Amino acid sequence: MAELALDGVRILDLSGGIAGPYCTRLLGGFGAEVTKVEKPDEGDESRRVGPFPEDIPHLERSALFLHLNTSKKGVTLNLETLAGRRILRQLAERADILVESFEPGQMSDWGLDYESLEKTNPRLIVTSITPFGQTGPYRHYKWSSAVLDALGGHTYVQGDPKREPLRYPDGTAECTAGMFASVATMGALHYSGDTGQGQHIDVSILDCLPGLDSFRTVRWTHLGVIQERRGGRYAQWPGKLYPCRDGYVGLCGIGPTGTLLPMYSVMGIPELLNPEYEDFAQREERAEELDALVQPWLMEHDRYEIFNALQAVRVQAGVCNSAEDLLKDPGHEARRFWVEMEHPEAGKLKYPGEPARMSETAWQTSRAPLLGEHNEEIYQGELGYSSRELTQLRSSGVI
Amino acid sequence: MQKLPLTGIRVIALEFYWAGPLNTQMLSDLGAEVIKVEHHLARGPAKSSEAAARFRFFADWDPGESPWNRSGFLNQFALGKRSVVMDLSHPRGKELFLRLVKISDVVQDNYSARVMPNFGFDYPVLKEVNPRIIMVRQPGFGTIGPYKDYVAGGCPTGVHGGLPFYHGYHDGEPMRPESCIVDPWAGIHACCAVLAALWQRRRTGQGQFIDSGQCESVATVLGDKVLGYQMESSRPPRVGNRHYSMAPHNCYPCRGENKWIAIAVASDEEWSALCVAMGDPLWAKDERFSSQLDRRGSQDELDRRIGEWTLRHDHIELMHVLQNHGVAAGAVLDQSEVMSDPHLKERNCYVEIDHPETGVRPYARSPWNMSKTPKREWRQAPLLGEHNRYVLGELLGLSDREIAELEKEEVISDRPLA
Repeated sequence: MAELALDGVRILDLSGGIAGPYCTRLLGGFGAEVTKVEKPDEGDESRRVGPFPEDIPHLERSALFLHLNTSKKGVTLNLETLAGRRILRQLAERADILVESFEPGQMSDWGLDYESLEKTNPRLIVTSITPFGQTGPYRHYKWSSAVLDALGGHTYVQGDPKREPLRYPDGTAECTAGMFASVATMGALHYSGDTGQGQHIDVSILDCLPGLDSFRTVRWTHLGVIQERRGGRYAQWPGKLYPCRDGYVGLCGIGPTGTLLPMYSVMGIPELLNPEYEDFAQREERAEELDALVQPWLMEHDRYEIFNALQAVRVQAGVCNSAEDLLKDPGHEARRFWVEMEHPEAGKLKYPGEPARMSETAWQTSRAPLLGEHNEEIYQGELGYSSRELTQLRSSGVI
Repeated sequence: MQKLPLTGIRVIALEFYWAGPLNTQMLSDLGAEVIKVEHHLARGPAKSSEAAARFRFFADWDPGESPWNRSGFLNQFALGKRSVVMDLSHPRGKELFLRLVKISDVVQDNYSARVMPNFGFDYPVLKEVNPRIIMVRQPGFGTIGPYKDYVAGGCPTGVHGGLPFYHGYHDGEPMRPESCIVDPWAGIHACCAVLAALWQRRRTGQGQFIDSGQCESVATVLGDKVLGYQMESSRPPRVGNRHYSMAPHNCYPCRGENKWIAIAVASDEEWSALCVAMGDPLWAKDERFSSQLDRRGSQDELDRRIGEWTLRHDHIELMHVLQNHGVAAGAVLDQSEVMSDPHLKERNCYVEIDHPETGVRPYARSPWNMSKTPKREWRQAPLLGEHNRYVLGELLGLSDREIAELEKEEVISDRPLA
């Protein structure tokens, strides 16, 4: 069996929603042993988000939850109770990393803040992932994906200039923060590997957004220009999604020094062979005129046909893939990206696999845990509680 | 010397544009020594055309005397890195590169899949030189599979990866996201893989090869959509500013030109709070708006009414008013407003760094705060070939005479050659 890169790294995951679970999903994939702690009966909020099979809500069948919580074990624990917090401290003593996403101040109200946990486990890394971070005037503000996209400057630049600005699809901000948190957490893991010293990492989802879009950042910091909405069009022509015979294709033009002659010859449109269209600035200015010239050709061809024909002459093209297309895409298929797994409640489904293929270490994927599925394994097997104690904890609502 | 998480790790970066540079930017921010190995023309020719000036984000639009050192985009993602110029198609360049591999930990590139093998730098070659080396490659479609040789910046891989199908207004067509956030997604995932490989190397002493296809980063983010499709959910692909369960949930116009606010109401309690903030208007008592489900069914009317109210207010002031009432609201900030936002300012999301050719400017930094790791000392992006002497002399032990010879043979340089 191939080795796991993070073999032996133990993670206690108290986070819910998207950002925290995305972070621990990655760490779990790289081989860490992740124990997800959920509130008894209710579980992670993403269990109620869906989408669901046939649109019928069910705690064990939410696509969002099932996706974000692969490669984790699941226990339930009520942190509102003294006994629950005592058990949490026991779990934290045995962990290398704790990830949480409670409102700032909640962990310390419970006596579970980094400073308290560090006393018994100085190597522990605590990663807090919250909408606005642990500090700053907005830290207790209410949030949603849309609110963060707006404040982070993403929304202002998206969409049609003649309409209201457009946010990103739900969850993109949180996933981004989850990825960054995963980098920071592994960074801290290396630090504790060298020094024996853990620490507290503060990741704000909002902080992750402004710098992420460096085009608009650099336009402002280096050119003093505020980027406006362009309706999804790139500066370089052709640079947008175009409808074609069976869907949409995305084309991305070429810089000032490149030539589009090979693309023009594939399309076989004589009007395109105008030398003026070989000029970068002219193309940008006359984008709509050029769009009108290529559109009929695109409507006569299928998206994968266009993709392959234009890529053959090294034009940046991509198919506007839906989930259905992604599952069939020959690229993903050849790379065996999708992983099929059976879940007792949700059935057999294909899940995203490794975002990076590693030659010497395997990507770990197992289905998401049922609510409290590993209570016995963790509480009895690892912490040594007896089955009688477990029954008591269960009946008093602790687990 | 400060001990940072990756102090002592040396990274060779063969990178351009965004996905690669962001990956090594984070490694640099974590304390690694990142050396950009650049072609003398990697940052463009010595003389810049007007079109290139617009394309390369030269500081203040001015290509200046040395345009190759003035690209805002490049400088944003090269903070604290070093630069050595080497002609990797020259036998001497190849030899020097492999000597550098021997004393490094990570080799990263985001060129097309064929570029590194064409130089003769396949993973087995690098491994032979240094079994501890971790090689991470980030071509758009990966290094294997039918599309491995396809050209791909963030736009095609983003499209192909699936994001734009889900991006767009609720009543409109799919739309290319304005910023290619898929480029950074690819960079961050690749960085995760490098850190995991470095952790594994502590145990085994062996490096490995990482193939990080950008498309797969995007598909990973869309996992819920892919599962939802298989579950035959009827949820529409694009909800735009609306939401599958919340209402009201939209971007509303505010006072002034092109000013907007995002409001998201998740519960009846928050709806009551919004009504109080609006001064309990009569229309809001209509039974069409009484429950979340009703409100979702009457969104056009609901949004029109709310928009009439928001239009009378300043977008930033209104955000604070609504938040104080317990309503999730966020002003739609343009980039200048983002950079002066008090919350982001307090959290030091941007750092001011001096650069010898472009002056003091704010730069985005890696978005995390660590309590025990000492704060990074921020350094500007390197000038082209600024560290030729450091890399060749100090690290590889070449004499001044040997370095001068390499300059004469144009194997190294600190400016674009004719």
